[in-house]
Amino acid sequence: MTTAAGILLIAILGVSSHFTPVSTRPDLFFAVTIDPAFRGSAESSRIVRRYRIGIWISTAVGILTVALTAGTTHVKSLMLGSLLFVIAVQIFLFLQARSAISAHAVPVTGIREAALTPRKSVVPGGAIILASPFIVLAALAVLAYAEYGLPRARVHIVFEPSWVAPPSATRAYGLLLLLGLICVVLFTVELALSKGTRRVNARGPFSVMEVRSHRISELMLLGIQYLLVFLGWLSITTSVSVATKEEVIVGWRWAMLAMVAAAIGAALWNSRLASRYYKTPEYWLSRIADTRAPMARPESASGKPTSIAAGAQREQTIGDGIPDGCWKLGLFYYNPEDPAVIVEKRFGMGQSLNFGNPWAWVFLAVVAAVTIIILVR
Amino acid sequence: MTIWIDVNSSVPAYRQIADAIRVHLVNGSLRPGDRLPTVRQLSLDLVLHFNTVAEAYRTLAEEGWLDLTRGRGTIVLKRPTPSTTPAVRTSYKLRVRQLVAEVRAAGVAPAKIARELRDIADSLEEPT
Repeated sequence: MTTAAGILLIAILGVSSHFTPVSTRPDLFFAVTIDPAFRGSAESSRIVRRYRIGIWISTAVGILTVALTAGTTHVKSLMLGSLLFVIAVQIFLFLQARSAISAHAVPVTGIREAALTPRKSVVPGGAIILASPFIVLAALAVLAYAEYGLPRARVHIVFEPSWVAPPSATRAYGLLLLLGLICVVLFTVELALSKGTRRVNARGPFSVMEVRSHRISELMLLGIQYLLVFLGWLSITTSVSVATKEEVIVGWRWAMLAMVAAAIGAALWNSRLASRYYKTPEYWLSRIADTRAPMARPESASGKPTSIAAGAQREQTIGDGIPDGCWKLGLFYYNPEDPAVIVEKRFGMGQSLNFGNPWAWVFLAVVAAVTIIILVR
Repeated sequence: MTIWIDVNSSVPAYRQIADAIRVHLVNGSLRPGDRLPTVRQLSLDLVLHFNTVAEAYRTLAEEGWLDLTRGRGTIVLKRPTPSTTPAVRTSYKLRVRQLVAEVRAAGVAPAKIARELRDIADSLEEPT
């Protein structure tokens, strides 16, 4: 089981790394701002091909290492080592490709756009749906008190549902404490996603994709919270004989697998949409329509377009509107002038923290504290 | 409904924001009672400090366009049309000429400037 999980994890890393070059905006390539037309060039194809060959070689080495060391005495250490090796190689390949792409970088324009309509909540049901996991956990705590009374021993944070170990006050409260802490962290991330992120594009197909990506992230976080609360309910309500112990475990594993598959599917769907859009005539027509203006862009002596006075007309926003220098090694975003706590990643799907914002460090401290509490207690 | 600003422009960002929103207020895209995004939301989207957006909103509030009552959000007000004075008319003529000169200095052809001004004039004369 451990070997199979290790092989699966390394394979997932390989597949996701394979698709990450095409899972970002067309004018962002290995975290470098480029002209979208560069993506179709021979040089670009060569860089991507070299990157992907390295990815699959490292993935194959990692999988082989895990498979050949199965059954040995130090299988877990070797598996961890293989995983770290694969991650380190992938980071090296990314930095290598980024260095090659940097020679083709274009300057980021100062044009920024924003919608003048208030942002709507992406969570149907709003505050009630967000608060419900905590309400249910509180209700389960009342139920645990009614069934077991107050714990007589010190409560330890445990993950021992009633179908794994005999129910007791300590285990019931320990499980609820663990689930509560995890829900707090997930809720904090949701809050940061809804209140502390920006929309780079206010119109066009990419604005739709941004909204969809945020919605998927928030709904997945919410789904995980409800799944955990369901686990707590199954454990605490030991008198509810809805299924046998084995059926519950099998059902739980299928539910986790479905969630992982849904996450991978959502990520691939979004990346497929991105790659499809930037290659189609519709994308280029939408770019032309967005930049068409009664007052045409002036030509400089060299023939290249120059920017005109703000307020008269705009150019197309290039990339995410952020200078490349704010992305350290292309992986870590540091911009003290940006009020956003979470920003769109430049490489791969998802979001990244703005390490130039003090609240990002507060969030990391909360996560670290929760992790320490779980590990120590 | 979208606004754009150029952070590399010599025009302060708060003024660009106020000018861009004023265009929508004047042409009726924003009507009395409409809500604008919060200062936080707009500053996040434009990657600007909260104070910059707040200053833009304050500018428009002082002109009578917006209601910034705390707790109610930013709401567009029904603004009575002020009466113009000769000084205001002289000032706007001067500003228009200065803007045209600036745009010409940036390299835009006079014919294109004239066409844009005609389009603006036509839209102003259309019945609302």
